[in-house]
Amino acid sequence: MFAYTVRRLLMLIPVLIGMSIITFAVVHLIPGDPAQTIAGEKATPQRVEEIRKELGLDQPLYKQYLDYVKGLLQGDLGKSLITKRPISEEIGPFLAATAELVLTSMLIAVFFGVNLGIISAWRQNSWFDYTSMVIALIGISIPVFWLGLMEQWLFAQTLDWLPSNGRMDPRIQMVPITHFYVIDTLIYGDTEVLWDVVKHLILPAVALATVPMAIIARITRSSMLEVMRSDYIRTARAKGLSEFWVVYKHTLKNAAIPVLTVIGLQLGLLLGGAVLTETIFSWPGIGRYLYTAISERDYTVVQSGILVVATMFVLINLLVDLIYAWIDPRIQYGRK
Amino acid sequence: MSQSVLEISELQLHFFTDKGVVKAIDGVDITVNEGEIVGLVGESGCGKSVTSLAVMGLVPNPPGKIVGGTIRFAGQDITHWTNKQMRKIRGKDISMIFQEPMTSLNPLFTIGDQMVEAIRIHKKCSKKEAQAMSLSMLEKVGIKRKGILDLYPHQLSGGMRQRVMIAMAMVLNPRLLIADEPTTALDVTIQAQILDLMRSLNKEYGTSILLITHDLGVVAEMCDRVIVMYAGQVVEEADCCHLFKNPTHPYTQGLLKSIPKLDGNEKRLYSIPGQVPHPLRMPQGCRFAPRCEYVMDHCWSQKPELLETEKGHLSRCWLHQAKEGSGNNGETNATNATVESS
Repeated sequence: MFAYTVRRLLMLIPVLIGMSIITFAVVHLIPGDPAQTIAGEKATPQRVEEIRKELGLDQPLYKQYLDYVKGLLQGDLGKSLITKRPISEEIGPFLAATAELVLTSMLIAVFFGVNLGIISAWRQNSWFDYTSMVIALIGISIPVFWLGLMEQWLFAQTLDWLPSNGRMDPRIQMVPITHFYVIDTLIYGDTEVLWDVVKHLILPAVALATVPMAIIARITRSSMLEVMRSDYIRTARAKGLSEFWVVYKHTLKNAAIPVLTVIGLQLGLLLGGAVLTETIFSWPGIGRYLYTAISERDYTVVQSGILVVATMFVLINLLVDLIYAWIDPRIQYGRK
Repeated sequence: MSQSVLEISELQLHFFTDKGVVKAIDGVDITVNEGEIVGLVGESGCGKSVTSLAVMGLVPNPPGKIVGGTIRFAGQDITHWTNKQMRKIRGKDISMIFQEPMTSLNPLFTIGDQMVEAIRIHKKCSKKEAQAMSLSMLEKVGIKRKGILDLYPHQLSGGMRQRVMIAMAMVLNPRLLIADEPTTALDVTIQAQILDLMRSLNKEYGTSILLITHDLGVVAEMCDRVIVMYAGQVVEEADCCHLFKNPTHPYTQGLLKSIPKLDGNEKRLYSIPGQVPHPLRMPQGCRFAPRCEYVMDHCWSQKPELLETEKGHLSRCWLHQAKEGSGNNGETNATNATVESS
């Protein structure tokens, strides 16, 4: 397992180099003179020169790239063109907000998706199976923005059960520590605020969870069905094992690999792709941060934002790969 | 007279599918006595595996359903036991090993995990005790490898895995072991070792064995008694020696003839003409009629019964039933002819 982990970590290096080249290219892919474009049409020539210097665009290309990578290695993501603050400082709270939202919705998606899939497979061709697979199909097909709006209309506006946007009641004053508000309120031990934070999380998390839940349910079902037909499941039954353990121990573990793959991919997609949900629910996450940066033509923020999201994606997939090897001992041996 | 461990009588198990009712087992009688090794022989699809799964209560329902007959185990009628009741005897009183040792063990759990689990489902004991029991059983089946409990199935060969399966099945000392083609997937030298092992366990523990196979060589080697199945029915039953010397049913005769002989100088291997009938289109009368050399007119329309031809020798064929009944000369001659020819 140790050797496998090291090998897998080493394989990360070329991926990260590739990513740095692509994000580096973002600024250089701006048509025409990047400095002019970034400064805007009405900018004075002095301002354009300033920006050129600021971005190091007056240096030769290879030197620009090396400086960029050197900065990255030191945790320097550059400065925002608009706010002039270091991006590495600015991005933290947004990232935490997104992570909190995405992790919550993944918890919902995994819990419901996996269990729906298991029970559907277990009771194949029953009304439960048909109903949950129809729900899954609807879940995959529903546009997230529409679902978000419907949720707001029903649960916030009509029933007035839950708040419609934001991370917490704006009247509450809290100095964030981790910027994960659930954790922060737990640290402060303030259950009232915790409850408020949780209430704010529910609607966006459910909206965001729908598609991955549906996908996970379908993959779990088909994977479970395949495993249930195998000989070792018959052996497990022949031992006198109860149906619950046959399903949740012997079948689920074998069916887990494709399910994990999907969970990892969805998690990565949500991290960068929660823009719609974050916009609808005014969630101050990384998606909104990038969206604002794009509309304000804050190219350095776009560049760093993409790099951060892509790195997260790669790390999640690394984690998934390590979990594979932990679940299935044959995977490590197969790569020797 | 030894007591019977397993007594299947007049068992009928049908699969209710969209295309129609498949009568997978249609009147099967099997008795296995204490300490006996009984062979269940037949082609693929004749219902021998379904019979064994029915005893374990592992036929998926739906579509499979027992519609008639009884299964008695150790004197108890277990025909309609619930899954929960069956779980108590599965793996403890009746164990089963399967054809495919390569895929019959869960690839994601160690040998130790799987053996300990098999023990602790039925026996209250600590993990340590269960491990010790597993080790001593594994040693009995000839695995003395160090650290075997921590190995995964893919680290063992097919023969070793089948030994593990046998150890797992035997560890709680069951009264009946059902072995469904246990050696089919193994190469010949390993086959012999596994058969030897099963026979010695049968002697040592007195475990009765129901050995399901299509290999008559295995039967001759191992069994006290043989039951031949064809298309969901028992067609012949006899002591092992008796059956090989004096097969009465044309199907059994065909099976025996199709074994290659080392001393023979036949150019072509004998095979029974035709094919097993489609399960949805069983012949009206005798199920073997379309392939039988001695077929007579009423074979097509009337079903023969499984009757005793000699003491302890049963056969489901009009050739022998006619002897006592209508006294048709042609049939009697045919019978004599078959007996002589074999």
